[in-house]
Amino acid sequence: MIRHSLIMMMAWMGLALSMLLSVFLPAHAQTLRLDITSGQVAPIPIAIADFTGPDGVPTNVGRQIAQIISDDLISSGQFKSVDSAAFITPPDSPDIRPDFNDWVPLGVQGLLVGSAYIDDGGALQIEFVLWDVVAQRDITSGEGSTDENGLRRLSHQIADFVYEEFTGDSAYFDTQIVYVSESGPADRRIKRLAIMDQDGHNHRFLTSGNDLVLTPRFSPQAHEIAYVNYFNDEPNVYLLDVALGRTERVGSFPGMTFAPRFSPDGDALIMSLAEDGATDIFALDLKTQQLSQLTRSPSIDTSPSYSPDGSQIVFNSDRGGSQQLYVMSENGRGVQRISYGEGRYATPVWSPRGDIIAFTKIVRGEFFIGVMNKDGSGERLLARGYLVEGPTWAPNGRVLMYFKQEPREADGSGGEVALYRVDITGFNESRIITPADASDPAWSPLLR
Amino acid sequence: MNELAQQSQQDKKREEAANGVLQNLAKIQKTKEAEKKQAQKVKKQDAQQKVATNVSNVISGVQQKTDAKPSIEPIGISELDRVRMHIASKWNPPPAAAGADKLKVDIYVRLEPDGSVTEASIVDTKRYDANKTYRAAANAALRAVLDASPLPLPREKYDQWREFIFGFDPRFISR
Repeated sequence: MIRHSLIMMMAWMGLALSMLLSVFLPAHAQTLRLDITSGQVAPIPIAIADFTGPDGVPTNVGRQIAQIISDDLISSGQFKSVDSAAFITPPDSPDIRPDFNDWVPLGVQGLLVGSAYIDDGGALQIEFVLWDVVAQRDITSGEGSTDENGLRRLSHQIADFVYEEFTGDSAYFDTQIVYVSESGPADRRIKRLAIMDQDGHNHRFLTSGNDLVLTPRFSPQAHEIAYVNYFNDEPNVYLLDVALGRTERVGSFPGMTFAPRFSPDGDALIMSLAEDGATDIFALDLKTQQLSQLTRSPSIDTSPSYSPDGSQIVFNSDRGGSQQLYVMSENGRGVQRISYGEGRYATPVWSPRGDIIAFTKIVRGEFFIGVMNKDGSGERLLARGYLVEGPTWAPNGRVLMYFKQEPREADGSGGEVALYRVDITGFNESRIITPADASDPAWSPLLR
Repeated sequence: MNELAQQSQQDKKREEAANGVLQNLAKIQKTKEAEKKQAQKVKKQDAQQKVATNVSNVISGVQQKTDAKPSIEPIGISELDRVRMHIASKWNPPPAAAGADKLKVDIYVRLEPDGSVTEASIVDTKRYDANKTYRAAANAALRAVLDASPLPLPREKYDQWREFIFGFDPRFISR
């Protein structure tokens, strides 16, 4: 606070002087207008200092925190961080205004300084300040405390602050991924639900592996997961309470249910129900258990996904002869085909921003992950592989995660399945490390 | 049953830990309020000194004007283009702003005769305070101006360019 009032005072003195001066300015001086319409598109250079203890020396937890924040920001592709070895004067406290002359030469736009230490009561105390190095002022700051188990989470939240201030977008680091962990030989594959932080840490299993599971999807509050469970070889939609670990089958319908997804308000589940050779899309009101049929065709209609405002649904159907994407209103009216490219289209997912739809595309045996506008125009392919499938959106709609399988060799080797993510620009594809093979990821909403 | 009780106890603990983090985060005090005010008027720390220099510059400017050669031409498009390109080389518009057609940021700038920036301020402070994306865009525009200082402008025409409003328009930028 002290530093603010000092700067403000100096600024005000300067202002007062210049007001006096304006009397002497030539009368014809005018303000020119100039528009800047081009710029540089590059990652934002930023310095992240190790968080220090009360003695000004980096602590173990402080180094971990800086590393987590740095990894988050770099993984987004929107930032690059400067190696701390290049720092001229490593900061020793977030309470001291940095000497910007030490930071300008590094070419950084932001500087994150923080303290982090375990206090006598065993609590982790954290404080941070984010500085704008060019404008030489602080942008945001904060403090908090947690037990040591909260270290990673708090670090992700600080990374979220930095991300939002510099990109102007909502962030996505304090999020989780639920996915299907796979192990064992192809004919006796064990598939378990697993959950982890978006960076792959804090991994744990949610189901035992006794039953085969598929397509987990988070509820809008991330408290529940809808998924398909094969019990007695029959697939049906189940709900899992993440905190309690309890699962229950959703309703009891004739035929099989699969491909569940929550409505944006969390009050309904949309899914496919297969009976007597036809597969149609139904919405289930979770409060009243009332089931409404949205499509009626002899074809296979599946993979439904709501628009973020809940007014429309995108799904895939082979009603036109090949598997293509269709959009309809939430009550099933006004069905319109939107995909017209070569090949087949599957697993459409509406972006949280509402403007585009991600999908899996299969052309001549090759798989792609792509996006298109909600009217089907502007198709762009972002990733390809022997098998890539099942895109899921980061909650800010800037990053997609999906799974990729390598081809299986004649000798039985290969065939690994792993999670990957990529920017919607198609850049920055990277693998998420998991303990075993991994498929069917779903990204949680922002947890905070 | 025991196992279940244990499990639910564990879960409760986990939940409490999570709640703890949240509660603590609620404590996070953003200093943005103070910063917003400051952002409206970013000045270098040696503002007084600069203003003092300004006085002598203005005085010499006035003198120059009295015996100014009538041959000084109005500032031209090529001279302004040079400034535009120079600032564009320093402008890294944030991802959320790129391509947006309603996120133009006006920055008011006062300059010294050597082209250095003495003052740069965000014009639309209301929107700056209200909108996260605009704030990021405005901060990036402000950084571009400060980073571009001094601007390459002809000293003899200082009377014509001592004040600018730069409009940073990201609509044609794809990211």
